[in-house]
Order: sequence, then C-alpha cells, then structure tokens
Amino acid sequence: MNLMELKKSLSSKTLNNLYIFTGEETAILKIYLNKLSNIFSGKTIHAESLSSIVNKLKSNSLLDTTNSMYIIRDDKSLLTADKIWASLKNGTYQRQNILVFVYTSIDKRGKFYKEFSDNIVFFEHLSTDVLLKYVAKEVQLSIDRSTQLIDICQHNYNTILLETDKIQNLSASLHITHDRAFDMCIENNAFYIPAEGEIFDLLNAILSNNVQSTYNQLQSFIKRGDSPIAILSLLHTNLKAILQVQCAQGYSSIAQVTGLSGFQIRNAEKFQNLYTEEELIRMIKINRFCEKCIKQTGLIDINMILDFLFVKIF
Amino acid sequence: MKIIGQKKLLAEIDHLLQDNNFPRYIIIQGPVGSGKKLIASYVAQQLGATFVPCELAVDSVRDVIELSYTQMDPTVYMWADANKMSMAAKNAVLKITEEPPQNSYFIMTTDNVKGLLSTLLSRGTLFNINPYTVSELKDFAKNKIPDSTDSSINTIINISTTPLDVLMLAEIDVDKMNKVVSVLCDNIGSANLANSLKVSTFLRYKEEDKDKYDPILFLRACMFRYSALLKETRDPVYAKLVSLTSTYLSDLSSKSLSKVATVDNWILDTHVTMVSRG
Repeated sequence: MNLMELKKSLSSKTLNNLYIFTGEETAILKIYLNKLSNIFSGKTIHAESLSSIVNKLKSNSLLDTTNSMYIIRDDKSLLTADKIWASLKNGTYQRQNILVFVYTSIDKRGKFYKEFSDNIVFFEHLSTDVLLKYVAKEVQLSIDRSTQLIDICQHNYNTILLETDKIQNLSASLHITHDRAFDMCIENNAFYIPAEGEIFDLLNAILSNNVQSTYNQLQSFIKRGDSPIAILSLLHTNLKAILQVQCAQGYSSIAQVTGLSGFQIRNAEKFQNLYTEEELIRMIKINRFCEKCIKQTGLIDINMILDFLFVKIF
Repeated sequence: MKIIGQKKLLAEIDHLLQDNNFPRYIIIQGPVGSGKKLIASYVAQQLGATFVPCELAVDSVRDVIELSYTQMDPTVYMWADANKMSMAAKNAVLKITEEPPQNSYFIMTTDNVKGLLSTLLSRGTLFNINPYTVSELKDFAKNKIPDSTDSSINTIINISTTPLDVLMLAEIDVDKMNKVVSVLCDNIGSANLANSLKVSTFLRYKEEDKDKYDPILFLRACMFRYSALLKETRDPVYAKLVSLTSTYLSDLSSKSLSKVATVDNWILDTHVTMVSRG
C-alpha cells in the first residue's frame, strides 16, 4: 500500500484491520496515525508487543466487547514469528480490532516485507513541492527561503517543524517578519546541522598526520559529546583503505587488487604516503586495542580512549 | 518439527512431560544456531500450549507477567537470548519464577548462563543442548544439500558445530570458499597485502549478503587449513597460526566487537607472522 492509497482509504473511511507503518519521515507517520485514530470509533491503545496483547485479542469476555486500535512499535519478535503471519493477514488474530505496527525500518529483502507488502506503508522524505505546502502552513516565507529551509533540513519534515518553530518564536519576540527571522537564523548559524561533517573533520586531521589540528578537533568533538566508537570505526575503514591503496601502487587497476570502490580509492589517495605501511598497520592495531578496551576488557575509560589513541599514534 | 540428534535431552523432556511434572520455568543453554528455540517450541507442542516468543524490554516483560496471571489456556512464554535482558527485566522475571501462575510456562534461552542472575539460574531447571556428533551433522548436511559432492560435505562437517552452520554453508558454494581459503592461507606471506585485505569483501557482515561467507565459518576453514599444513609440514609457524586464528575466532563470537576489524586484524597478524618467518 502506498501513501496515496492510504490517504484515499482514510478519506472514504474504509479502514483495514492491519497496517504496518515504517520510514524515516516520523512526523508524517504520526499525522497519519492520528488521522487513523480520529476516524476509528473505538479506543486507541499503545502496546509494547503483540505478545503483550495476545490475551486481550483472544478474549471472549462480555466485558471486553469494545473494539480497539492497538499501536505497537518496533515489535521485533513479529518479524520472525512466521507461524502467526497467516492469522494476521486473514484477520483472525485481530477480529474486530485494528492492529497498527510501527517500525523504524523494515528490510525490503526480508520474508516479512514480502509477506506483508500489501499492508506496509512507507513514510519517506517528501519532495520539495509537497514540503513547500507543509512549510507554508507553518510560516510565511518566500519560496526561495522555503526551498533553502527544506534543503537545510534535508527534506526531513520533523526537523522542518522544529526550525519553523524557531522562526515563529524569533519573529514573535522581535516583532519581525518570518523572512527576516529566517535570515537572522542563517546569519547566526542557528539552524541545526547534523554533526556528521564535524566527525569527518577530526578523521581528516588524523589521516593527514596533523597533530595540531587533531587536538583542536578533539576539543570540539568532546564538547559535542560525540561517541568515540564512531571515530574508531571510521578510522579503521579509512586506515585500511589507505594501506591497501599504498600497497597497490604500481598496479594498473587498484580497484581490482583492493576490492575498493572508485570513491574509496580517490578518498584514500588524498592521504596516501603520509604514513608508512608499517605505521598504518601499527595504527590499525592500536585502533583495535582501543575498541577492545571500550567494548570488552574495560582497561581504559571511554572518556580517555581518544587521548590514549592519539598519544600512541603520534 | 524435525529435531536433529539431542536424543538424551528429548528423552529427559519427554520423561518429565509423561510424569506431568514438567517445570514451569526452564533455561535452555546452547551455542548460537544449535536449536534452542526449536526445543522450546517442541516443549510447547508437547504441552499442547500456545507458544509466545516475547520481547526482552523491561516493559514488555512486565506486561507478559501481568497477562500470564489472567491466562486460562496453557501458554509457553519464551525469552530468547535472555542474557541480553537489562537488569530491571531480569529482576522482573525473578518475581514470577518464584511461583509461576497456573497454565503458564516460562522458557529462557541463552548461549551462556553466566549472563543470567544466579538467582534466576537457581530457580530454573537447566537443559543443555548437547554437542552435535559428526554423523548427525553429516546426515543433516546430506539431507539439506542432496546434490553436494563428498568433498563439500567433508568441508561442511569439518567447520560446522551446529545445524545453523550447516544451513549457512548450504547457501554458498563451499568448494569455491575452500579455494579462497587455500589461496589466502598458502600465499598470505608472499601476496600483496592490499590483495589479502580484499578478502573482507567476500565475507558476510550484513544479513542481506546471502551469497557471501560467514566470517566465523571462513576463519574456521582457515584454521582447519593451517592444522592440515601443520600435520603435513610439522612447521611450528602453522601451530602459531592455528593458535592466532583461534583467538580471533573467539573475538568474532563476541557480539560487541566489529567483525570487519577482527578479520582485518587477523589478516594483518597472519601476514606479519608469515613475513617474519621469511
């Protein structure tokens, strides 16, 4: 089922007894959950898992005749409980009730997806044209600024709502237009920018063998409260790629020798020959030791691990 | 429901069932893929009970416990990998194991009982999955892959310890994997390191990479290759590599460590060992 089909069935008030919602656009997903709830005449109950409501669904009690809509989030056991899928599909499990399963993500190659593809509604990021209409509902911005806002928020409606709220509050407190409030947010870097780019700044500093820059980036890394595990994982992938590219020098096809993609090779080539092969091997092994310290042995505190790593590397 | 082997365990379960004395709370311990959930569903079937696999989250555990008191029909609740439960969830289960409600049975499965509370362990009846014999695994492999050659079957039983291992190997070309293993193990000291590290691209780190090789089974095949080389040449370097590979295999079994980094580090260590030997 796609979003349009869901929209049509909701406007004609013909509800199914099983829905599976998934996707990264959680704000839109929430809107449709509320719409379903409003159209449905019975009560809405949030449940942890299907197993926790199995008795209620099976109950024949006269006291429990009210139909309910159960919203169940991330019930992982259902994804593998193939024995009950048929009962769910033909509705014998839910009887007069409606079951709505909400998943953060569903593997499109899995058996569950294949079995329930007719019931699954994907909530993916909306196009700029559609989002412009949603933005217009919240703030009065010029088309250019609205488009810029959508790009800044990476088409994520949830983030758009947070940023438009920022614009509304700034505009109300300073008695300025929404356009002016938007410009002020841009000038003062007030819009949220995901931290991924900054993690790569630290990574690039290490790979460039730039001690000063590494320690400068480390300060902001600590201030942001980012996880050292992420940097250890990225560092391993990149050190390995650089080592492979360095070792494959002289070969006509580096991709064939290393199994790396063109993008990985170009990225690794930016940092090649800044460390020797022996140094790269040693760094990979220290990185591994740090990972084990955090996840297995507990030898070094997680808050000290990057200091330890850099002292050992440089 | 076809259960391979486990005759002793099934006899023990059947005996308790026949005596109408089946414990209300049991723990099944065995390695990953050894058939713990299958045994749990067998118990439910024999009891004529509804089989309910449950979530490990504390709220879900509390809901299940609350509902079990209102349950009229026989029901078997199973918490798979119960060692992964939070302390709060384990404590929530603890209460119900003292006096389980009528018609309710609780099963916890785990690959290591050390991950459970000692109090949870002492209140339950522990059933251990017995190691599978070579002939059990061989019969299972022949049944699952009827067209396979004798050499494939031999490789499969040499590196499998559980039926899940056999099933995973049934999905891939075992002879092809064996060739990759031989080429890597025999040449790692002289081959270009860039090329040796490429081996990672053949391994399955994501569930969807069905045609790739499971890292644990791949390393077991490498260990088997080095054992064979040790027998053949009596060169102590192979004894060192068997021991090294065994250490990395234990790291691969750890769910927290990165599998890619583990295999890459194994390749680097093996390469360095072979290069230093000359």
